[in-house]
Amino acid sequence: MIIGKNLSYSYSQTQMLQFPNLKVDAGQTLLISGDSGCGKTTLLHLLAGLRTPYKGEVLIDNEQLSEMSSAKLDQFRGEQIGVIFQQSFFIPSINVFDNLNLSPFGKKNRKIDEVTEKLGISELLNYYPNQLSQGQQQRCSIARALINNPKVVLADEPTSALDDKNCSMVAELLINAAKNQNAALIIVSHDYRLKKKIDQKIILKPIDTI
Amino acid sequence: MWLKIAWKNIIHKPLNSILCSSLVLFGVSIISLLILLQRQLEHKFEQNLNEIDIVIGAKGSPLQLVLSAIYHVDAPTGNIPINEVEQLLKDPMIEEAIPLAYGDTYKGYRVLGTDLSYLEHYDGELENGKLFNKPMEAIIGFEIAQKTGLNVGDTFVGTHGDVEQGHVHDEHPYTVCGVLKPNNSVLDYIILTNIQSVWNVHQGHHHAQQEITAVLLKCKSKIAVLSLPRMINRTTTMQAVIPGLEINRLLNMIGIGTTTLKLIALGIILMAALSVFFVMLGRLNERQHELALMRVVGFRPIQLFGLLLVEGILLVVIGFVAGIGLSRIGVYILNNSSASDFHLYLTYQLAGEELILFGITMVVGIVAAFIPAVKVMRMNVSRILMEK
Repeated sequence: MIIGKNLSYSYSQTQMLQFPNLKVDAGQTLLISGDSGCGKTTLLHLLAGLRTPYKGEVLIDNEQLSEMSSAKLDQFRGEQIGVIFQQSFFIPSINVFDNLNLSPFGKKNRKIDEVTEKLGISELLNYYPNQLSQGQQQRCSIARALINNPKVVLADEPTSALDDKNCSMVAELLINAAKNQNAALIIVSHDYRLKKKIDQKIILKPIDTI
Repeated sequence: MWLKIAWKNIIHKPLNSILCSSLVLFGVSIISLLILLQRQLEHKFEQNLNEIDIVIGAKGSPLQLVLSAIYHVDAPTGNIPINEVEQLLKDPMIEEAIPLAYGDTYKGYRVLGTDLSYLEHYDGELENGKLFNKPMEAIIGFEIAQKTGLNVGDTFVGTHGDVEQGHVHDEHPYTVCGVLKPNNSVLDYIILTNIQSVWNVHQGHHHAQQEITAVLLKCKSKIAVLSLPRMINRTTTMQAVIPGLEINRLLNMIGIGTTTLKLIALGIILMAALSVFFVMLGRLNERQHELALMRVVGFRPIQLFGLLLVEGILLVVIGFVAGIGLSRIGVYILNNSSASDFHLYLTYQLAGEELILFGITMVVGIVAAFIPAVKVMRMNVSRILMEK
């Protein structure tokens, strides 16, 4: 379960983003949408502990991110939060298997075979990232986010670069995989194609300026 | 995992990596070769000097006299009359005197007329055969036996002077009476006979009778080492030289040259450091997303800092190892080309100074990668991930 309570973020002294409270239980999904520039990605980064909120708190299974040391937060993110980006980022010099296995914590609880089989990418493990199509890359990104069996999966515009066919397939894979693993899934997107598949929805307002 | 990623990153951009490593390679190979050459030169000079205090010979270049009489690598300065030498050797300050008479060579190896004290001085031992005890018997060094195939009982004729195209003394063949064990000194590449043999061979020549080329002296005291040469140079037609001083002077001259070359090579290694720095800094921009991704999956900033340092160190270590390899190829080539001229055999073993060079190379790699590594440690992961 992930909770975002009274979250706000300040880019500068004149710009303050204030976000609605949110709560996603294990196995549930939330879609955050809104116009470009309204702070969707910033909210996602706050939830992932990649940015520090101006005010408010993020709790994952009752553990507050802001109370963690920098080292503990890095470890917590690596083990308990899976993140998927709009662009599929990979280390180009290593193959898909090594990219999925990328972790400073060894191979504890990692389910590469199971996850890659479910996502239909078992045969791609020896390929290098530049040998994959966009759809394949995005499926590999999903696999990387799920391989640790995380409590929370955060996805930033995971389908915006995909055509309708790939969008539907990737969204379904992501949602089903997260549900199967009993992970809370938050998707940030303005992609209308996702709306029907998600449990909760939040629409962010434009930036509040002070 | 770290090492694997660092290594894969290096081979992923081979041209950049080859540029960085090859500069280290050239610098290291030059310095390594110079270290081996200088060490071997000093070792050889010291070993063959073997407590000889003074060299007496004909007037001329003191260094030439030392190089010809002790190391057998230069032409002698001339001959000296035996009666004048005999007069001198009565001096009570002299502990031991070894006469030397040059005349001929055989296949580039010098035939040296002397007595058995020369052999004793260098602790020479027979591998087979016996010592010479009459004219025209010769003992050959181990290397000569290996290279020419001569053995006990074989005969050979010398060529006049130290040029292979000189007059061949067909009428005066030498008989090999003994072969020496390997000695790792001048004995390995010299043919020893008694002085009478040299005189017999050169009976018809204008300079032959009752002359020798040089005398190697050991003195009874340090005072004698200093006073005898002064006396000899002032009162006789001969010259006396303290070989230790001449060799020190020679090594100093060589030292200036090798130091200059080492500085140039160090400059190349510093250029390598700059190239590692610029290549890594340039690649940071294109790698920032993958590095940000590593942060997202749990890598700590200090771990990314370490990754960049490891990459920098790997680049220079590859260059170092290849440089040491190249210097050994250089050693092989030098050993095969200089052996017959200077009898210098460089070793393939790692020298202590090369370990210091390894340390310097490591520091160069760390310093070059340090600033890019610090930049990675301080990067704003969220901002980078938000960039399209």
